Amino acid sequence: MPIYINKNILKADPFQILDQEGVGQLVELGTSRGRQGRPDLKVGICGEHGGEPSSVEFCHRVGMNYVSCSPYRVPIARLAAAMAAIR
Amino acid sequence: MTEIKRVYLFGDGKAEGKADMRNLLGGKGANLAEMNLIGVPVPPGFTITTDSCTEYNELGGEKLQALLTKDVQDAVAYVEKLMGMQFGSNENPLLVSVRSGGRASMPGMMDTILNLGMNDNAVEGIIKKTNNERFAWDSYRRFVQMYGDVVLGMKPQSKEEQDPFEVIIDEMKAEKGVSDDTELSAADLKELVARFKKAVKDVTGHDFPADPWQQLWGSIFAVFDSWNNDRAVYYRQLNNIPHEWGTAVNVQAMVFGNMGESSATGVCFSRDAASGENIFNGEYLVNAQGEDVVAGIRTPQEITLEGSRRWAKLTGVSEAERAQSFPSLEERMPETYKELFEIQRKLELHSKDMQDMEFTVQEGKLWMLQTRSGKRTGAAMVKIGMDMLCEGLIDEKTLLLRMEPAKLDELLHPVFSPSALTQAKVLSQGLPASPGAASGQIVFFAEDAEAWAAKGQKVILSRIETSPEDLRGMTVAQGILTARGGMTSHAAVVARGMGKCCVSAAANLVIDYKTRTMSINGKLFKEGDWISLNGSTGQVLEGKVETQEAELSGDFAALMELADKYTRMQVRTNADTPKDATIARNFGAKGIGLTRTEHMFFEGDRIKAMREMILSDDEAGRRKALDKLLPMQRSDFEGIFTAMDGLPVTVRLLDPPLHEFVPHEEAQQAEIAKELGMELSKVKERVNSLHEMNPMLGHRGCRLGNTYPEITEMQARAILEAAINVQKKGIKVFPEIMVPLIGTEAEFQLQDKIIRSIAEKVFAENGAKVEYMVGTMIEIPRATLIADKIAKHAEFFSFGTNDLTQMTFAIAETTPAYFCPSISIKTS
Repeated sequence: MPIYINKNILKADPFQILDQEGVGQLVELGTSRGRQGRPDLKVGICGEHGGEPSSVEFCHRVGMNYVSCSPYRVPIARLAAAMAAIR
Repeated sequence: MTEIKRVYLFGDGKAEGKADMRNLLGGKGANLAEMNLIGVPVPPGFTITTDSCTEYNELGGEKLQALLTKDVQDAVAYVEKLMGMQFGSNENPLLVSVRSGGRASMPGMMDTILNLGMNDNAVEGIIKKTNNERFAWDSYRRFVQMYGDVVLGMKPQSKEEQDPFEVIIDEMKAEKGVSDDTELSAADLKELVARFKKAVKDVTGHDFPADPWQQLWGSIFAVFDSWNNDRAVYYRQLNNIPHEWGTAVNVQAMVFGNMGESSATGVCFSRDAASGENIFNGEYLVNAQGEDVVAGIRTPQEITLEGSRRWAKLTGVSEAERAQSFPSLEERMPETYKELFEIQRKLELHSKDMQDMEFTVQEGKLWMLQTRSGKRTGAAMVKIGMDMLCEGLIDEKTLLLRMEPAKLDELLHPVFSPSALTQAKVLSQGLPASPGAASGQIVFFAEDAEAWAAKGQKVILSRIETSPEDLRGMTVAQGILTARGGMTSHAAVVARGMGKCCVSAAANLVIDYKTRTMSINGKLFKEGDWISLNGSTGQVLEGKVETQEAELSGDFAALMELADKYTRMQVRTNADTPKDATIARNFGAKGIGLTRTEHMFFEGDRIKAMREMILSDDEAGRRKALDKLLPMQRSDFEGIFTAMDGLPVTVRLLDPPLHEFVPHEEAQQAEIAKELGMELSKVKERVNSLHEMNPMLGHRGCRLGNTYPEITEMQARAILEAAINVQKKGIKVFPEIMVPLIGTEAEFQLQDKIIRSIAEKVFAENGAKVEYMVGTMIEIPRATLIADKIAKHAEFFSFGTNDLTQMTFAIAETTPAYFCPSISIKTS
């Protein structure tokens, strides 16, 4: 039952499209604080979000080194990552 | 207060709007204006802005009408002047169309009214002007029908009900003993208008409005209202279009494709929307109105000669019959065709994208009614983009930015052949959990799937929901169907990982494991019956539907190369097996970002050793079982490292709570007790002791490795020994050991220390070293807050955003009720 979506309480399923407003802040914070502790820290993502285009764009913006996704989403993520870099 | 401009005029080569005003004028309105500006023949008209739709929703019709009245009156006067016609005139009446047009294209989702302005006066005017009584009355009856359906709400709400006007037409046809609408005479159609009007009076209690102005306002508001109809709302959810945008309304002078044999109407594309080929194509009908082309009452004919011949070949029509009965527009109206060809070329060059256009020919004169960027398949998207790059129409960046990444999915999975799909019967609609096309015989158990597949049979694994134990059955099945579970359910996630077709949460699917049957909407299916799944749409189809291999063209590879030229971020893959790793590598993955070790424990005899480890009383017992697991894990890692030669591989240490590995049914518990020489009561006691109210927040992740360090020791050893072994064979290996579920600095330090001391031991024992890193998964909110402290020890972070989302929202990923998983079809 799509009650929350229909009532516009949630704009999208946060398990499919990374919630940039809330969870995204923690990802940003974790990345920047992590790099305070270790400037060359390698940062990536390995949730299902790693193959979802808008989430990939977000990962680019917060300065991640890589995204990781299921094999069949790899081309999608590659394209989304390039688009994010151009934007 | 500054004056708000709500109405934008266009016509006769001039326009107040232009292409880049689509936010305000909608896609259709902006493009109508632009077509005027570049000299394409368009019937004059005006666009009421999308902002007015928002005002309408806020203020209501009455207040908006007051705000709009003068502008709309002026606009109608402008159109009257350009056309030399008058609203409601019995000499030279102006008729208009009223259409929706949002910012983003929403084909067919909102309402349209044609022939507005028709009344008892105007019909006389049309007859005088055209000398075509039949045409005049046909236009009139179409208008009453459309207005009745759309504005007066007489359109049936369900598919089962028949349109009241269609019922009247059918009665009329029966009375006259004819089978086709076109066989009705002018007098019949006149009589139809009268009966239609009576039906309106009967249903609504009011006379059909004769005043064109009343008709116009009714229609404008009906179009605004249609922004919020169920279809439109659902379409917006499906395509992530914001509800706030609103629709514009386009009012435009009518031109008629049904004024006789020199009139026609049609739809065309500047390139093939399915294959992407650079071939102008489309369909048209002589002596028809736009709705006839889409309604499927008459069979439209091809626009080009080439397309017409292709069509004839496919449908088995001889060339003689084709030329006689189904001629192309190119043959039928060569001059018009030439003009249309030039215009479509002009529009494509101007917009630099494939165009989807609507046109009407009124007594030999061509009018363009609409142009927009055409919807296309994933394959067409790639081909059109690459072709336009080669043609110099667009540059590399424009090409990349125009892609819809999620659409590449279609290029990676087998698909149903479109012709087979149109004939297939839909049994149920579920969630499009993992795209692809699958046909097979129904089985209900993973073991059966394996057994049947071993005999070479194609199976669909049908489960209420799946669990890790079903993995092998899922691997060999053509597709997976579940009655429960969302887009992130086990079945969905695993199927996507496998690139396997999966439909989850199929509506009205009831599975009975006991009788090995299932029913869909009451229809019974037995084990062995054939069904098909369309993982891209979520449809469950009856029987076997023909599939075709997805085509991987050279353009696709070229596009991917271009993407890599501009990208900064690398793309890795989540892979637990050498097979997955190889697939991902072929798709361009630059390493593995997540190897889950727990899946390895489910295969074959491993689960036994794993259970032995879990059920042991003490460390000695656990170590004994872990010693059995070590060589198995090591060989798994060797396979993965080999597949990823030269690229980094992140391996996550054991993460899930242990209770997921132990049997919960007594029969299985008895079996394991026997194998391990334990008392059944002891096994039960151990299993019960693992039970947690909230296991995802319980004894899992690094907490396992910190309470049972020997597990981390074994896994670190397996990873590093495997790395050394393959390195000796000349394979370049970069293992990254990832500790899951870190919440405190000390947790990580402890695990880090265990791993590093094992590394020293392994290196000393083997007289060899490998480069490795130790890092952590960031998935607990607390870890993000103390990330600086953790990073002092951890060499890399990998955000586990599934858990992070779960814990930040305090919503379990398995809670399906609040979400609408179907909204993300595009990303599945």
